[in-house]
Amino acid sequence: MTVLSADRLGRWYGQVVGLNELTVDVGAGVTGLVGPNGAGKSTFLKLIAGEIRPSRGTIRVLGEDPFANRRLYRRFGFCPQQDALYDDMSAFDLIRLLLTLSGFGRREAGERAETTLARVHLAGDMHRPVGGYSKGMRQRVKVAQSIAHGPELVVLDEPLTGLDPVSRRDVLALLRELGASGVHLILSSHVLHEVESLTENILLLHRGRLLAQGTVTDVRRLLSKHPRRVELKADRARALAREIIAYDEVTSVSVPSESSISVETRDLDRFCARVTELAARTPYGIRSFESGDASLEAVFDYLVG
Amino acid sequence: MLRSTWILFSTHAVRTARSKRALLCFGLTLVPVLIAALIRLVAGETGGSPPAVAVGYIIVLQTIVPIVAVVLGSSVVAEEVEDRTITYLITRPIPRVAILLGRWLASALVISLLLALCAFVVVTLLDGAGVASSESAVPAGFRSRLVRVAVAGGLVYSAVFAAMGSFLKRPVLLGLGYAFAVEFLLSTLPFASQRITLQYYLKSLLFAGDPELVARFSGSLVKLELATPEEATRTLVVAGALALGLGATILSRRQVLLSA
Repeated sequence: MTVLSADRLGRWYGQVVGLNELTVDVGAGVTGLVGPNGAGKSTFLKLIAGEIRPSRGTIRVLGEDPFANRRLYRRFGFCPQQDALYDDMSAFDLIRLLLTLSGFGRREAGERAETTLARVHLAGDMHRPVGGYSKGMRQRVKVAQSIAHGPELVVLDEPLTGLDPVSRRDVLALLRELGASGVHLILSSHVLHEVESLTENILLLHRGRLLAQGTVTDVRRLLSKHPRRVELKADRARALAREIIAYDEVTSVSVPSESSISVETRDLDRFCARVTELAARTPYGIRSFESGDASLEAVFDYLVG
Repeated sequence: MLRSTWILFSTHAVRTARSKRALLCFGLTLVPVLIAALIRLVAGETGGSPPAVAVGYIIVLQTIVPIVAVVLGSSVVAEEVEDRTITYLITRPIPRVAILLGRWLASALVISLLLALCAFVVVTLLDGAGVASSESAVPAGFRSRLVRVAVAGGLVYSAVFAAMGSFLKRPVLLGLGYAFAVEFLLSTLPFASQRITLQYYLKSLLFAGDPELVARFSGSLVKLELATPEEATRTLVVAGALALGLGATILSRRQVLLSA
């Protein structure tokens, strides 16, 4: 079953690319959308939620065009990233209001609101204004409003951001339970291991493009083969270059000046370990070591970190 | 649509009444009341018609009505966008027009109550007992007419500003600019351009049907032939409906770009 299908999906904000040429099918179950900040995750989720329209390409969610689609919203729940709620309302009143707008009668909406808020461990605080809630409690209210009407698909934008460890554990447990009950989940995170604890299926976005799709293992393998550029500064750059060029993981070495070398490697982890060892035991005078491709570095760091 | 409009109206009527904006508007409606009280205090028995009509028209109808309508009307959709809560409403299976209508009705209720009370108290204060002569007595029916026209003005202006708030980023500033740079200015100038303002039709409703009042203020407050009450009512209703229709159309097609 295909829950979501995007074909050459693109979205620009003026000159800024939010998402570019994204073609992907997302199947049933739990899917993690990962990528560093600015990768295009939120743009993708806003397109899924129908808050914005694509600049080009198409997107179908549960077989429907999502923009302002009332039929879809009966089957769909959305937990936005922004920490915004009606602060003067209690969690119970808020969820009941949204449930009545989803078509439930007042009594049933009240019952569902109570049940859902109990599920997110807010039973004792549900009648207090949400303006007085902690960040974690507010996040749980946001999750609660996205699941209270019993949707088939729930989309959550960074649902674990800002949560304390206990709230994080509770929300993760809730999402696991939802996934196990047959609800399709798409959730975004810039921290891989958070998503990894919920699902093996991930989409990796980077700079508005789909970098990889598959299991976490597949994606790690894929990225580890991606050549990486590294800049080294050393007193004896030429001698260091002669030694480094013999490494298996190094694909090219250049010496732009007497005190620096530029290296391209297909296994950054292994290369880092060897350079660290080299710096400790040889007189090349290695002074610094940094990746020249900072953005990819960020992707790699969060993947392996 | 009616159900979701009602749900949003009933929820937001209470929230709007308790909001800081409503408190600010309440403070604003006290301004003409204080001016009326001051005039009453200073003028003593010589209060009556000229100050009641002048304060009622210039201070209440031309000034307070648009400001209150801007403050409460422009927030109808804009506040949901600024507070980034609109996501919860637009991802529900309701027509987007219900968001505008439900919230506008809630604001309109509060606006109507505030303006009706303000107009009533102002004329009551200036319609002093023991007025010296019939010349200075508040014309018969003027108080109830000012109350009705202030409420009508509040409704139409708030509909216009609610529509502006459904697609503009700073509807309060632009609304105030429109209220004073366009409405106030044009309706004060003695040209036919008055007819493109809502103020002209509100003034027509306030003065028309009372030839004696028109004659007394001809050349000062009334510088142009007024519209008939029927024409004025029709124009205001159409203007309000068009504004809401435009706002609803724009909102139903609008993309919502919110910061995280």
